[in-house]
Amino acid sequence: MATTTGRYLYGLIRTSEDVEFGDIGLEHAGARARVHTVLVDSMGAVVSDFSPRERLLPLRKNLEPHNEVLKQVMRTTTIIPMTFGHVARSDDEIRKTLRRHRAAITAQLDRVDGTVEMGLKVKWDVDSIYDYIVGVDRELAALRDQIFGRSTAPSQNEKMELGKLFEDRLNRERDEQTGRVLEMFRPSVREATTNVPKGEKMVSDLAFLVDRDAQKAFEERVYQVAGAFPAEYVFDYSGPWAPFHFVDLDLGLDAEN
Amino acid sequence: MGIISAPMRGLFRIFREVADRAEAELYDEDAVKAELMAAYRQLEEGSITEEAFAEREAELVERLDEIDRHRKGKGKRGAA
Repeated sequence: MATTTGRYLYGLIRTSEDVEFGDIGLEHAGARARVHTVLVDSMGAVVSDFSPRERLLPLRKNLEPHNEVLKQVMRTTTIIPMTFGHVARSDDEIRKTLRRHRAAITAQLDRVDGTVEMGLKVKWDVDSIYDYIVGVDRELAALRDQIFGRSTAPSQNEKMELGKLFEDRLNRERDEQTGRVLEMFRPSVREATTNVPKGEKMVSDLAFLVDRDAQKAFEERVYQVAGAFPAEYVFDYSGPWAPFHFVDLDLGLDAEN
Repeated sequence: MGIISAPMRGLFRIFREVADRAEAELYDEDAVKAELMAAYRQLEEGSITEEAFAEREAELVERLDEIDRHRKGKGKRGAA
């Protein structure tokens, strides 16, 4: 009979030996579960026991151990991280899947081997993003002065025109500055990717794939790059993370999504 | 900024997501789950307080329970 204990899956690593990560997994049977590997050749799935019948919700009590496991694994090796919530019925199911997708998994492990992901957010530290952009764009400033500078109140159309120009300039400024930042980091990273910036004062939301032993150099580079920008630009870096943005692996067997 | 919350292209669809295991009308539930993850990300980024997070999480769990009750109330059409 099939076992009733399933496996919760954190990610995939390259290893030819079983690895133990300690009792740091999601809760199972009233305690933090033991995190270990399920091996196929030189690939290992990082898992812990989990009852497939349990309801699994993205609550803090579950998300925290998921994160913690990824961080713990990343201390020693690079993991292809899974998003929260993946379970398998058995080790067998995991092994079959690893075998079936060996080539794709190996290619992704090659891609991220020996690396970490570093995040970088660039923001405008200004009171009013509107004033700031008007301040750096003459055409926008001229239109604003023309519309608001006379005795009659601006029409709805004029305000919309100004609003549209503002949006365009804001986005153009973002693109230009993001391009500049990327260019400056290019020599010191393996890969880079951009996310859509959230929030009007966000200039860029970037992720970099960096060699594990080049983390220090990356951090120094952040200070150098920040120093080359005006004082309104704030650079926040984070990491090391598992290489979430640099794994492109769709095993696509089960099209539930 | 949580690793788990980062946009993720490497989807392993082979492993059934417990979240998706139930029936088709669970799109709502997925949205609530996405909000739960987003709230946790905000907590990690420090953009919401512990108190605000706890409140938000409780509220979203309550919504999930409601969806659950609703579904059960409608009977188990095509239940697995």
